[in-house]
Amino acid sequence: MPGILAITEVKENSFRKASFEVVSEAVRCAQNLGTEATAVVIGSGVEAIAKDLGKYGVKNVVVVDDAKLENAYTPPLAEAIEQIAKAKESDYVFFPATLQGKALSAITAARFQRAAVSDCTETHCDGGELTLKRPVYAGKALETVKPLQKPAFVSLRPNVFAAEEAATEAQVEKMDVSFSDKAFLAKITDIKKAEEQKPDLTEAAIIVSGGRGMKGPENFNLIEDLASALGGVNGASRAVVDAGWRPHNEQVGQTGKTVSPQLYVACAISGAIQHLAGMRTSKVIVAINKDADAPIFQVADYGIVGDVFEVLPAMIEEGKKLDS
Amino acid sequence: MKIVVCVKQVPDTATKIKVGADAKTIDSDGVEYVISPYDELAVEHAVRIKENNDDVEIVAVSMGSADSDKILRHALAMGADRGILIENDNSCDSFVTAQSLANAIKEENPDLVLCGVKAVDDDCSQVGGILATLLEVPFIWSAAELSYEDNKVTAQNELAGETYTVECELPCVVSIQKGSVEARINSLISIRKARKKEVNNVAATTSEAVMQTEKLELPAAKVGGRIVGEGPEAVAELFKLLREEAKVL
Ligand SMILES: Cc1cc2nc3c(=O)[nH]c(=O)nc-3n(C[C@H](O)[C@H](O)[C@H](O)COP(=O)(O)OP(=O)(O)OC[C@H]3O[C@@H](n4cnc5c(N)ncnc54)[C@H](O)[C@@H]3O)c2cc1C
Ligand SMILES: Nc1ncnc2c1ncn2[C@@H]1O[C@H](COP(=O)(O)O)[C@@H](O)[C@H]1O
Repeated sequence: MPGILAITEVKENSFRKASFEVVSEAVRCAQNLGTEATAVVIGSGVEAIAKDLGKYGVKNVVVVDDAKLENAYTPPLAEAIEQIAKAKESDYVFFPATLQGKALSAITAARFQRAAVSDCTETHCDGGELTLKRPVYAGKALETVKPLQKPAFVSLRPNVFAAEEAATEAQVEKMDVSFSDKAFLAKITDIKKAEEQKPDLTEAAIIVSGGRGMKGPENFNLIEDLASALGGVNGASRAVVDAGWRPHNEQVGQTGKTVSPQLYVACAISGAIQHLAGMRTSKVIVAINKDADAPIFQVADYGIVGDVFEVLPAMIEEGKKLDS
Repeated sequence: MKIVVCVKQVPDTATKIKVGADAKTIDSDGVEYVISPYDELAVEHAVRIKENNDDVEIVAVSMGSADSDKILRHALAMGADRGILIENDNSCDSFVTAQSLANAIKEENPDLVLCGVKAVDDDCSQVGGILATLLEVPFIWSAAELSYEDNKVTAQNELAGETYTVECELPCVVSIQKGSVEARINSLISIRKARKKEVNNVAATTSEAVMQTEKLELPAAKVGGRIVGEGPEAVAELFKLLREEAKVL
């Protein structure tokens, strides 16, 4: 039966969180469209974890488990998905809109002479067809898009769709696919782990970001301490990254990362339009700024007007109490 | 060696977006267009490869309205050698865009194609991957660092606290994201020189749309945001609200 494929992303034999959101959303859309969702797990040594997806309500899981895929780059994954989508005559293929997911959706869709509707934040199932809403112009506008042919490819922004638990006995089907030699031309040759394993900003549930008002790199321990007290990760404005106070991979904004955590705490960040572009879809925004007129307060749910060097230590204290 | 860099004109990032009368596109009245920031970084990477190697030619390609000439000149001033403008006034989906770009790029038969990780208007992150597939070459996505040696590119990318190194022999397509490299600032002399460089206009290829925009709207304005208080005294109340009202802690 033509249905929806939900592509998962596996890292070191466990699912990245966005995978569950994609599976869960595929199950919901399939229900609305009167069809079925099938989750897809591709990698080396991944068969063992495939069944776990039943936890998110999916009845069918297709597994491609091939030693060739150990540390493989994106193209063989696209070849596998192409073969699965053809075998299943899928109408829709959902991906997590992670950096890898967006690249993978692009090259897979192109193999079908299609484009993928990228980084969607809403799905609508009207009259048996899917329409998608997605932020454009860095979230300054929302576009409603309709794919014109099937199969249609769609990537879903992480942290936006609920991963609903609905314990189901999932049927796991192993599938053999063939890979072209060309698929292995680009190779991952090295993976260096940071000393400290932090979740990626785009997946974090809580983010604490610091801006130029932090005055210097030596004060970012306040940002890091608050982030760790709240169980989150730290981010930064571009002013801070350009000044060399923080690494570029922490930058949030139009030319940095787009994030939508449950909680975003902006500390001494003015709220320039390019910064808002990267974080305005966060569920709850807290702003700490000494200037009551700072534009960040216009998007904040809760604000404290005050000096970060007084407010942050008090927040860290309060945050530490949460654990006990 | 020949490098093609894809550059797109987009509204300046500080633009306040207004929806146009058709409720499908933006009102471009008064909008200032610039080169998409990641495309500017892609040009910078290409120019650095040219500076470090002999016999490198850089061709900047853009599809858009006739005034995309401006961003092509920007790329030429940064160090690209010539430009190709694929004239097209209508906005089109990523596949149709990639198809036109691919047709123009095939004529050039480049060793390396660079593009931005995303164009900051449609925010799709699609064109690079589609382009690579249409050109039948590998695609390296989201390179924060890029180096070239012995007919091979090495890209680095940070994901979830890990640094990935990806290698590929040419030809290939690489999409560029922000890393340690910053785009150079054009001098008056380089801007003047760029005026004399060659830009060829070519026609867009028409192909069937694969998706359609039904509506463009502004996001709902935030309501109910409030200042909890001033200074550290407000912290206890803030945490109470985050726990009990917002339920995020
Ligand atoms: C093409 C382009 C792309 C861009 N992309 C991005 C992007 O991706 N991300 C991004 O962030 N920016 C981006 N910018 C930059 C953006 O326009 C702003 O310059 C930047 O966000 C400002 O950073 P900031 O808020 O940290 O600094 P500022 O604007 O300098 O604000 C500092 C704030 O700190 C407050 N403050 C100072 N001292 C204290 C104190 N002791 N206690 C409390 N508050 C204090 C001040 O009131 C002020 O509001 C981009 C710009 C351009 C042109
Ligand atoms: N109309 C265009 N002309 C030239 N390059 C483009 C065009 N559209 C997209 N690109 C390239 O593809 C990248 C990704 O674009 P997108 O998929 O639209 O986010 C951009 O950063 C450009 O390098």
